Amino acid sequence: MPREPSGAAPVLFDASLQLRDDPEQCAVRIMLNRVVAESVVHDRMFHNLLAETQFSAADVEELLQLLHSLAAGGTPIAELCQRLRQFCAASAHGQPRPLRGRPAQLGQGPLGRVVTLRSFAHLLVHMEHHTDLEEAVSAIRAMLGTPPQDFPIDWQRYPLGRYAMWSTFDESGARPFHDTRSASELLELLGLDPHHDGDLLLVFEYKLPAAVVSHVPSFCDAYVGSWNAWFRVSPHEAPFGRTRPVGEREARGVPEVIHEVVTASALEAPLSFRA
Amino acid sequence: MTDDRLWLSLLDGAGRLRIDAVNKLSMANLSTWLGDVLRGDQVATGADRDESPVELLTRTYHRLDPWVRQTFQDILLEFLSELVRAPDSRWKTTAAEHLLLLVAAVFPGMPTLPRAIDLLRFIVDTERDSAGSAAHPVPVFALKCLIALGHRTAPAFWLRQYDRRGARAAGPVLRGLALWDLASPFVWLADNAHDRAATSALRAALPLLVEKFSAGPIREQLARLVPRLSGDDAAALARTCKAIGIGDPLGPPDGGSHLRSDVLAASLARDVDAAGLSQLSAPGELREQLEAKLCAIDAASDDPTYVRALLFLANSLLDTSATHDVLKRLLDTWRARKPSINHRRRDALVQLIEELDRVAATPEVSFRLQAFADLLRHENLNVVSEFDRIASSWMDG
Repeated sequence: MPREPSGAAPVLFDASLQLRDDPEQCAVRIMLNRVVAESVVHDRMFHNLLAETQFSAADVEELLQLLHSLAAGGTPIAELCQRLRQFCAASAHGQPRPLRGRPAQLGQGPLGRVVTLRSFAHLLVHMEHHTDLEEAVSAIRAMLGTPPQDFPIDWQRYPLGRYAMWSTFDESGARPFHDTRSASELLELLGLDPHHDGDLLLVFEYKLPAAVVSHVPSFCDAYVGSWNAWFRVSPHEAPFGRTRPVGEREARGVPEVIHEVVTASALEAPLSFRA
Repeated sequence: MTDDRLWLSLLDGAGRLRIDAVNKLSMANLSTWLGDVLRGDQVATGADRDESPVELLTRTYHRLDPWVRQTFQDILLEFLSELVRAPDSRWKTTAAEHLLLLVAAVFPGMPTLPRAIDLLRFIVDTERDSAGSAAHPVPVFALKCLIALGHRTAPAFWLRQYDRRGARAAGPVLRGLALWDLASPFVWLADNAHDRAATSALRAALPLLVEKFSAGPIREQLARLVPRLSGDDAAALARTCKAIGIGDPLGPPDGGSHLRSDVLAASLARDVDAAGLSQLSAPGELREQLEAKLCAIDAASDDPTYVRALLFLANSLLDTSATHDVLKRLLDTWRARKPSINHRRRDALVQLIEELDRVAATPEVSFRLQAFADLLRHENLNVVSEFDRIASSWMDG
């Protein structure tokens, strides 16, 4: 996806919409207002759409055409959301849109990522590293506290994420999560679903391989799959994204970046978990 | 496909699934919605970015009302029947994998389990996958599902699956043989030591096999197997053994440090206090087993470890006030006496936990049970005092 040169003014969806003729602008706005009314998630999606600064002019043009075509047919909300996901997945020319945000500036310390034990076990079964959840959970459990350099050779191939990896780091260069103790505290801080409160959370601390670039998370990263209620797009030229803690205690947001999936060979500290 | 209004009515303001709304769905609507989610036609808004449809539905299932869970099971059985009747219809590969993973999560310990097993056996036994021949993935998914459901059958069944489906079935074949006895998988491995899929399956399953059969017998089997392996496979196996703390299979027994128990202790203590934990409900069979064990307990037990363990189990698994009452009485009795550790009872408790673990409904429950068994095996004073504190707060609460 082509990007504007650094320093150029961002291409904003709302400004581009205002340049369309009145009937088209009106139809798109009516439809978007209908979406906004559905739930907080839809409302936040809409505001992120308006605030996104990482769209190219071509992205915005394609999006406007898409929304206008959908507005004409009185498209159901679920279908509209599905089409938005398709837009986020790839351009009309087949160019992938996720993981195309501008490169992020990382801190000096390791990256950190949190997943539920259940999610990680499911992933290992799905990737055929283990036969069933019981086996996967047992294998994960056996590695708790083990230094990564002592992991079984098979673990070098175990992915730490499913599609793309959302991660954080400590801006001071310390280890991520060093001052968070409980699972609920982590969930809140990272803007993850508080319904996982009570699940066991696995903590990964790792270093990004040289060939892997981290990006500032974009609208397309956030809305290509399941929609997270707590995502927010970053300001223009922000060096990295920032989480929106559950409950919107803005001051406690932590850095947030996204990158391609890396394997357990990147781990720098033993697996640990929070309950 | 699920109607737009219906789908949106299932979400709360933050886009998360409303369990109360799912509880109110008609069977037809629940069936449509389940099918759509399993096939990926509906993406759950507000969910975790990494959460698969199976995780969402598993999490949902365990929070539904009991009668809705029954309907949920009936629908899954109907889906399985569709898969048997017309495997290439609406259950494409990924959707079929999701369905079978969900079946594996839902049916353990359920009265409907035999029906699910019959359908799964039909999928793997019939030659209906001739178009895709042995490479067809769905029968392998079904084999994995049978493993997850604890289907114990004669080794000949599993050996036939390996002959027919080859490397891709190595994992479930090894596990299926291990459900029969410990020797069977190692006899099969010795015969197929050249197959890297088989040795890889062994390394993947090794932590679980050690939990099921304990380290000593596993080490004996490994010592016989290792000479048959290639150098690379033997080295990879030795590294796995070291990582999981059972030492080199050809070396002297390794006492091994169990520092993990310290990590687990602190986390388990928080587990017991975690608000969400009490929402985990036990399946009928698990509940019955525990209640039967409780009835057999000497109410004058003065074993603090035993009492603490029962408290933990109660907090983790049960929600019946009657069982809580039994446990409170036990704790009262224990508090009135001078507590002492009774190793024989501790061993009995480990055995009880392992029994419960075999029928545990979810990986979380299983994880906690096994972690607690570890604590008991490697007990230290910190753990004792931590559980004392929890027991007291539980009583006061």
